[in-house]
Amino acid sequence: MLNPASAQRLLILLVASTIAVTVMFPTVHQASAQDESPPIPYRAPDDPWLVRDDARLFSEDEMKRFQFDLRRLQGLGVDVAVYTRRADASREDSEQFADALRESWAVESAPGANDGMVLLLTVSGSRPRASTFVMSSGDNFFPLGQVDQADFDRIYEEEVAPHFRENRFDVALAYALRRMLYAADYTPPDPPPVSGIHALAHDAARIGGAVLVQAALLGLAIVPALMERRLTIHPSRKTVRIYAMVFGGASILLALVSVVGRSGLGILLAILVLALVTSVTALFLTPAGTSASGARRVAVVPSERRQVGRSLARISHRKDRHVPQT
Amino acid sequence: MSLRLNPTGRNRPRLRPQHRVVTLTGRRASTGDRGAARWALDVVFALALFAASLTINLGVVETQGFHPDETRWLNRSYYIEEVLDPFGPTWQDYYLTRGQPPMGSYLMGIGQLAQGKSLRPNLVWDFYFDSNDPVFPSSDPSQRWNQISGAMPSWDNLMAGRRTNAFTGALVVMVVYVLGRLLTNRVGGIVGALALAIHPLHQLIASQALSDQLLNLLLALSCIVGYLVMKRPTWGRALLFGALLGLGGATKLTPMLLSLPVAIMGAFFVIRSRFWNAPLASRQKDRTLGTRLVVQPLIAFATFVIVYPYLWVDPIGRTYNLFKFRVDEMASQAALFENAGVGSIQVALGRTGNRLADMHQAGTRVLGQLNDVFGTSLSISGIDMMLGFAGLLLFVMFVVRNGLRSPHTMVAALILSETAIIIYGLRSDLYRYFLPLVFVQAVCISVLAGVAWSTLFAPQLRRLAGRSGLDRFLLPRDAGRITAGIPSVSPGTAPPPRPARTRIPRPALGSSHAD
Repeated sequence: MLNPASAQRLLILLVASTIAVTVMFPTVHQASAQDESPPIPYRAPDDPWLVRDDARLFSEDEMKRFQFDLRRLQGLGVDVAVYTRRADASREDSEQFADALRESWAVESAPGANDGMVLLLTVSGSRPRASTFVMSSGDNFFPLGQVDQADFDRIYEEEVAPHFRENRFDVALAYALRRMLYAADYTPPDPPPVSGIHALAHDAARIGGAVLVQAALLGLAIVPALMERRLTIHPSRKTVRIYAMVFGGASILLALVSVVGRSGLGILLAILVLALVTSVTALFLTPAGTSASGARRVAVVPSERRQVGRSLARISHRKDRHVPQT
Repeated sequence: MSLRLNPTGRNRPRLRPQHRVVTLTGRRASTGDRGAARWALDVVFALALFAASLTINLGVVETQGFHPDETRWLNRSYYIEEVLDPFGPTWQDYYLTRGQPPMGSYLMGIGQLAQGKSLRPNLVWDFYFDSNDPVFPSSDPSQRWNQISGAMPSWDNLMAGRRTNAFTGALVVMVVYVLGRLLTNRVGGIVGALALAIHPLHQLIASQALSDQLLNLLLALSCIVGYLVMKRPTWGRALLFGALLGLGGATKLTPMLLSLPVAIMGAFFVIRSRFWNAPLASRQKDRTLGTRLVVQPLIAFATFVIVYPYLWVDPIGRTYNLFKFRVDEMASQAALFENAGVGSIQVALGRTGNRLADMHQAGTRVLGQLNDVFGTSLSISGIDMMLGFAGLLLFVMFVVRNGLRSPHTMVAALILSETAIIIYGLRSDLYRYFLPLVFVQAVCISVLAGVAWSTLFAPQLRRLAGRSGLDRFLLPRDAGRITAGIPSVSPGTAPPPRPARTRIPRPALGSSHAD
């Protein structure tokens, strides 16, 4: 038999224990729940495989194919890893897991680059509809060529998700990887920003081009006026040559400046001026050999001027051998 | 019957006195209606050959087997509109822009626009997914990755691309006629053009949406303009010549290398004009011609850069990238298709012989037709190449007889250099790479046919026709002459006797001026 004092102490102990268990249980339960979060699978730093199929979704040939595609992406400077697992996890949990996986596996082109992506396929055994395909990308992963985050989300919705919902995991993953490959290999990067001397040349080309076009048009009247002291629509050969040299040269210079400044407008204006100069030359610069007098130009090397007389005599002698057709 | 190998060459024994008709100012006299009729006849022949070739090409466009390379050229059709944005993303340094020079893509784009088709008919075909794809293992090609992912153009777009190339192939035939006509005579031109038009490899590539026919077109045009430059070396012609070589380079790279032997020829002429003890006029011609030729690499390279915005920001570095990429591509092709690998020049020559003397022969086709008609079973292997080699020998003889400054020399230099570049650079035995050699073969056959006509058949025909009084209607005016481009003879008109040379009497030695 317990004496009343002992019974009272025991009762107090029981009540305290009950209270303690009641109060402490949620904390313990919470701690065990935290302990149940799936561990990040270990991946050796020198592991060549970029795809890990813990869920056993793919055949050996498919694994090799995906590995080949992932290696190809890596060769293009795009680091992507694939992990499949079987778990009953919500999409949010899978996203957190994929982020953790990307950090743990260091999926990026260089330490701190934050430009890698992990594709996580979580297959739920109990609820097939709860399976998720999650893409966790670093801040610097997009744009991939001309494909940005929004484009890739659209690709996911239109091409990846439908196959994944039909449990065609291999096809879904193939679409995701191959569209990435396409973007990285077959779409161009954005042009570098125009800055520094390029920006200066860019402005110079635009302004200079506009000025040059107007000058070339006005020059049609001004150059003959300056050269021949008259306004004429029949400029001399010399005038046309000077016009062509001045504005042709200026247009080529403009084109070069436009290339340095990456100005498409500058190039267009340079082509316009060059076309104008070519047209003027073609219209007004008659070939030397077609003068009405029938005279013929004979070029002579300076060192051989003494022989000119002899050469002309030889030419005239040769002409004598020909008989004009009557 | 005597065989005259060079009836219009120098030192030719002239049975009948002939001379050029020129004006007093040294220009050729107009040949009047006869000249116009000759031109008209040439135009008719050229157009007829073009029409015939186009008909042949279009006839096989729909039945020709599909090649994935066609999708690549169609995919890049949009380059033609991207030219308007020369500093845009398309011209950045990446795989597609580096992969091929743009002229073929421009041509496809122009063809698509002309036929009202899309400039973006399909995505890029990825050759890595053509075979051993366990994800899309269907035996039905239409269910494989490239087909279902949008890389396969629609039937209409594919046919539009093929028609563009069929048109280009017919243009090549027409230009080969002109070249053969210049080198020999009409018969040579016609036979050369027909040899090309019915060649199986020409037809195969002219009925697929590829760029190789454009390469041949630019090569043929380069030969013609090169011929004209040698004939009259003006700066305009020289610029055009260099521009064509540059455009050829912007199609398939190799024609730009042709500017190097041309420049070497030019340097030779310049040096010869300085140090060769020759008459002033000859030295003058050497110098003029030499200066026009020696600048060809510069003109060609400038043209190459101008038409290719990718090169603008770094012309030399990116051109190097292009050539390196092509070499690597050929090596990877050879690695992918082990049977196609070409390790040495000997192997390249063997593959060339295999392709042109065995797999793709025009002669076999002609013999087959003859066998069908006459019920015979003749079979001669390599007949095309034999004819081509015979023509090449005659061509070389032309060069030797006519001299280094003759137009024939330039054409021979161009076609031989192109042949050498192809064989030396061949790393992968792909059927398309041999198309320029088919063009070379056609030119050589045209020379052979032209010479055969002028030396063997024309005199006999002329004699027969003369007897019947039909010679004025049956025979072309230049029958029996190889260089038909040198016209205006007036047969039977004897040149006037050369004025006797009068020597100014020298005073006798010892005589005094004081006398």
